Amino acid sequence: MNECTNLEMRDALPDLARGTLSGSDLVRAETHLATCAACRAELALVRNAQAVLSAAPPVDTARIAAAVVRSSSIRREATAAVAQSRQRRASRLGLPSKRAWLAAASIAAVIGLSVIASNVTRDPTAAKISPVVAQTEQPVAPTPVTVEPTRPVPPRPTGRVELVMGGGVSDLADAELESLLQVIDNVDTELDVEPAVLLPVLEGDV
Amino acid sequence: MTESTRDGEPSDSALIARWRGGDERAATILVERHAPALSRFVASMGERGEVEEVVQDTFVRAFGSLDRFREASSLRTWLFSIARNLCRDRARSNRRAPTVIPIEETHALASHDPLSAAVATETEARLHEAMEGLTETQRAVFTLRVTEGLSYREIADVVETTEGAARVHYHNAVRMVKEYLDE
Repeated sequence: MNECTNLEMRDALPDLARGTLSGSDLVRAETHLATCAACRAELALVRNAQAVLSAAPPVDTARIAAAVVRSSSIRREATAAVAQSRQRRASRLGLPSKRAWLAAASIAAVIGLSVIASNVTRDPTAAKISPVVAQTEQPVAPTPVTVEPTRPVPPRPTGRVELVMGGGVSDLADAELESLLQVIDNVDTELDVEPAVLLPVLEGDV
Repeated sequence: MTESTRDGEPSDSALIARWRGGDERAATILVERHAPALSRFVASMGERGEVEEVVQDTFVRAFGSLDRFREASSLRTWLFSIARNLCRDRARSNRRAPTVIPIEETHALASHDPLSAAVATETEARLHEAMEGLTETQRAVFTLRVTEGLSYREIADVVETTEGAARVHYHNAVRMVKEYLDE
């Protein structure tokens, strides 16, 4: 059988079969059906399908509702547990950062103290030459030149071979150094475990 | 937000608000209200023996993400959408064709007259066979339009398509079912 070309009417057939059409829509549909065999056949099919497909197996709504409540309760507990875990992890992550702080500050202090110690024994002008200066025990011999007079070689300090690292803590003023040591002391008191290896450094035993 | 339906029952929105406020009874009412339609839909999508399991999963998922439900669509269409996705996931994982529904399990056209009953069961069987010839989308659209009376707009939300496409799917499904039954 050919299909009806009135799509609007065919769209309304499920609503007509369900009894949800009313007013002018219902009158129009009934008028159309009176003259359209194709739509009457389609309405029969729709009613048939409604009857068959409405026969769904019953479900235990009480059991489903209980499952929903139980699941939501578990989810809430899990969410709370995750939040607690995150909080604990955040507090744990705080410790390594303090230790890293202490390690960095301690290294800086060691370098600074070594620089201060080396400055005591070397020529005061050498520190201004370069951040890194290698000093040798033997002064460089002047190159003999026959035509031009030789330039006088500046006197080199004699002494042991040493590596001097400039900048950093050695450039700090006494007040700034005191402040840094104070910060290190404060960090140290906040640690759970005191690193014994660093105590001599902080106590000035080097 | 509508607080109650025309028959005086609290609306879905009101029940969702109560659930969010800790009222577990609201979940029970919502389940009782929507479970039968979901059951029909899931069964028509090819699930049979595990209909209740799918319906339960649908509600558990829905209530699990109810805090994120902004009510852009109705709760009913949202539930159908979740149920459809579950059915598709199960079909994909099971790699099996939709189960043919045993005739004795259905009661829609049961009759005390043996001849009428035989005709009815024959009609049911033919209709289910015709439904199995539809694509998954056509079956969903046909069921939602014929059985649940959803508008094309609502169906489009469920099957994630346009209103026009939902209408085309419906008429194609009707044509295919009709052709199968006329053979």
